[in-house]
Amino acid sequence: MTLLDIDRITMQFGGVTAVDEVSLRINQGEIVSVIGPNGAGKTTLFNAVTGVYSPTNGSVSLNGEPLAHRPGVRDFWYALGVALITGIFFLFLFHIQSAWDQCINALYVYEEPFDWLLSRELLGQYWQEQSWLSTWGIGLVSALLSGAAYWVIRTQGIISPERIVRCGIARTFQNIRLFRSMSALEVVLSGAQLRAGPDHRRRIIKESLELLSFVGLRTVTDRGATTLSYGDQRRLEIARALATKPEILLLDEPAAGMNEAETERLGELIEAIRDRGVTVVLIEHHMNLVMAVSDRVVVMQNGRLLAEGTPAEIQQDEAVIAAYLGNDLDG
Amino acid sequence: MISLLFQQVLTGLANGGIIALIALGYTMVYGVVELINFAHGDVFMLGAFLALTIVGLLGAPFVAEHPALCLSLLFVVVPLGCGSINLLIDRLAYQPLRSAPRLVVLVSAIGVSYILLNIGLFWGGVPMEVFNGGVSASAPKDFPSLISSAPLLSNSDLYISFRDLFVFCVTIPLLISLSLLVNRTRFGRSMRAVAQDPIAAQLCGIHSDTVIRWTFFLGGALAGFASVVYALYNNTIFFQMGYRVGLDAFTAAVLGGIGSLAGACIGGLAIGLIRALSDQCIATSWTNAVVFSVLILILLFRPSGILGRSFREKV
Amino acid sequence: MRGFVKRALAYFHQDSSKLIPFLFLLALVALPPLAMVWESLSVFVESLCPILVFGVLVSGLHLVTGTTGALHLGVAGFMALGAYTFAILASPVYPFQLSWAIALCGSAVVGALSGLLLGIPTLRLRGDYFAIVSLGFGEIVQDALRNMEPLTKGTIGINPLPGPQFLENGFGAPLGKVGWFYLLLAMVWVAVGLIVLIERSSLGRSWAALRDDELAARCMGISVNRSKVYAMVLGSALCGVAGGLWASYLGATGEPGNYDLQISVVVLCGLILGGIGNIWGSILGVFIMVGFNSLVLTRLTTLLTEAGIVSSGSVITSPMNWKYIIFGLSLVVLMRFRPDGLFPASIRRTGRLADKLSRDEAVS
Repeated sequence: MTLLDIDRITMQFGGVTAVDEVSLRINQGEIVSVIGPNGAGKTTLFNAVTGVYSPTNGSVSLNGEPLAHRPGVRDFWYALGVALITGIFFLFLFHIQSAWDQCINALYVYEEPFDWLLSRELLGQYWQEQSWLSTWGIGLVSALLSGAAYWVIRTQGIISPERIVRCGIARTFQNIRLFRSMSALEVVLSGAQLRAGPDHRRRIIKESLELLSFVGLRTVTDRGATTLSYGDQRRLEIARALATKPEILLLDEPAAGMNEAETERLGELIEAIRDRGVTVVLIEHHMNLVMAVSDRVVVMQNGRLLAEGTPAEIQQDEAVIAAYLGNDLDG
Repeated sequence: MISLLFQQVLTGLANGGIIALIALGYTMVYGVVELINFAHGDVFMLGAFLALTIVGLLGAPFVAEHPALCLSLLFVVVPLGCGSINLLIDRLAYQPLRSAPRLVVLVSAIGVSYILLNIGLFWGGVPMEVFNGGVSASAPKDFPSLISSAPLLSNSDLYISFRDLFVFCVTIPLLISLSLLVNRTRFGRSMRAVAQDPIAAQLCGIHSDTVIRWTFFLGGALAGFASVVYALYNNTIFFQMGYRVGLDAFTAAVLGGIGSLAGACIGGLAIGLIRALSDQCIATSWTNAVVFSVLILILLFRPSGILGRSFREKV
Repeated sequence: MRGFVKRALAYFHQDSSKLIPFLFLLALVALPPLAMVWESLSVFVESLCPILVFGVLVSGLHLVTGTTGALHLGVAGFMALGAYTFAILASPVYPFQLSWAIALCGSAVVGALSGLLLGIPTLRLRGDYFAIVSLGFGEIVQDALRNMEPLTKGTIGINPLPGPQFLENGFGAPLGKVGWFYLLLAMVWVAVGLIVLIERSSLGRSWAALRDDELAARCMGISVNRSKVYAMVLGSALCGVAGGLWASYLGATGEPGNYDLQISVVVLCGLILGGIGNIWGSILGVFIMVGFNSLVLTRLTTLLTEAGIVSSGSVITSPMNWKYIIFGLSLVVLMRFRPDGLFPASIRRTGRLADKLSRDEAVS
């Protein structure tokens, strides 16, 4: 069953096409690896899928639902609200001084009782006296401009990373991006709080502790996140991503900088993640890991999909071998 | 009516030229080190005080007899002085923080601005005649009129004076020579290289540090020119003048596109015009708010400015 | 109650960054009684009152700059708005004449709304640009208040203003020095308490996350925009309250020019000096910063004047004229050598609940 449908995603930066009409289908329960030489566009593809970049072309769907933001009724009401507030604000700004003069300063005598009814009447009079332009003109023009600006900005079809995570796609980063002012547990909590209400503190702490055990960081929950070893930091990132309860997890070079033993343990972790019900897509350069855990391997080069197949098939593929000069594929 | 508008436009463009010179300093420094040099306006202010000191040292009779010589002296010493001050600021306050987070450097720049402000205050208290004997240090000081404000066209309604002409005669050649420097010389190329990618520039054999230092010097020198012109045009200086003019200049730099030199020029002229028109059509008391609103609007809707390029964060 | 004390102890345990300023604030409670014994201390009771208002102000700034890392140079604008709102609502110059507490709430509301006004459009702005916009905002507020004479009485300001009316006292300053001291001190404690509570919540965690790495926070589902707006609204509301308190304490708003960039910078300086991100430290930092200016410099000036060194003709010898350079130097030196401040914020930890759950799990 297709979980993630990436349909002809293209990313262009000025004159450079980093990702060129890449289409990919990820099925539920798979572990798919994306490999390719540096600069092939793998991380850019991840960024396009997770909303960090806005794809120049193409679309992504999760469980059949496209992830793009379609202008809806809520946007319309928000635009209306913005328009209303802006209109009132500018009207206020324009008229407050003279209205105040006429209705309050003219009427009020120091420390004497104030005739509120008369003041209301004067305000009504003031409003009548104003020309159409200075009242409705200003109000409507500013309202229309701001409402239109809001509408245009909102409906540009840009999908935000927050929404994508909420839909169920989580990720880690090529360069570790942890929150350096937090302990390891707090970092995981920052992912877990997405799915929790305000009075679920106990529950999310329990879940986060469980996740930390799951990735093997049980003993360091209270240490500052950036004081951990490199390998531990990578696993912490994974725990944080898992805390958002995703359906699919995108790992960007999770084994970078790890030795043989650590890479093997990472492979076991990835399989355990899959066994928990989370589909995994990973970008990797460690071919041992790729060949060991993947159900399918996808090869990218120069922004395009070069080949797709099982690990065994990819190892034999001539185009892939050509792209990769060297014997990395022999394990 | 037309003559009034013309007068306003002329004043606006003249002030705009001054603002453009200062805006160039902001944008050049931002281009190479990505820092808003908060203290730049105060460097401008110190330049004006330096100019007044030189005039005071030369003495009124000498200045009256040899105005051209005096002017040339001012246009040499003050830019050199301001350039050196800017260089010193970078050396002492900004360079040690090259790798610090941006906001830390910004706060440091604010600090430098206050230090220079206080120096200006003290300078106003120097017991020289030009400073009114240093009695009220914070009061504005008069700057002698070396350029006459007599009208050029005596029989027309349009009022241009030597002063207006003077401003243009100084700012336009400066802008042209700066443009030549940046686009045609090796140093200019190095500047642009460092602005785009300091590490790659170093790999090409360019000493980023040296280029950055010269950029600060150049920016300061431009502010120095601007300060002399301002003092001659407006005939008065005060120790808080850097703040307002500095913010106007920063707005101009952002309006034109921060990092773009042509943008700074266009922005400067635009801000000068906006100020003049706002003074005329709305009210002088609202002009500052108008300029700030312009700044806020640009930053909200087009942060890269008129001629600037937008940035992308690498993930 | 015992649970609260235990939690409080755990909060300060092994954390001198929070403990020392906390003890300082606690010690202030004892100041007026001590002042009755030692006469020389009584001058502090009065002169600390304005500084306490700045304590509330820096709490507002902390909610923006200390939590989300956005450099805010316009707190004086919110303070001004709060002061004038309080003035318009409470002063006998206008017919509203609401009670002190309600007028103060009005300050908070207006502050919050202005925070919304500034916060929403600036969501996408980078750090240094936001700084400039907030600075511009402060300037615009100043100019606007100065120009809107029918409302604000221009450069005269609105006066007289009432103090809090607990006992039907009329106004001026019915509380007296000690009363004001305790009232303002209580407001500082309330502000800090609120901040500590909010920071422990998931909103506080979102703020910490977005300060550390905004992109990563967004990619974990944290609604960065919403968090920034909350920070801005809450922070501005506190700044507005500070403004109302200021006006009420002085009995007048003063002219709009009093609420200028200098105030914003001094408060920022205090925030950073004390330790950015640590509300306790920031409050102590503001005490040091503003206290130095108003207490030390004025005392020094008086001493030097008596000694005959200060004369009106020379600008250098009067210590008051050195305040800019002292601000500036302290900022530069701080940023160079100790950008984290005197009481650096410590790592954010989860506290006792996590330890308890952790132990439960280990056992089971």
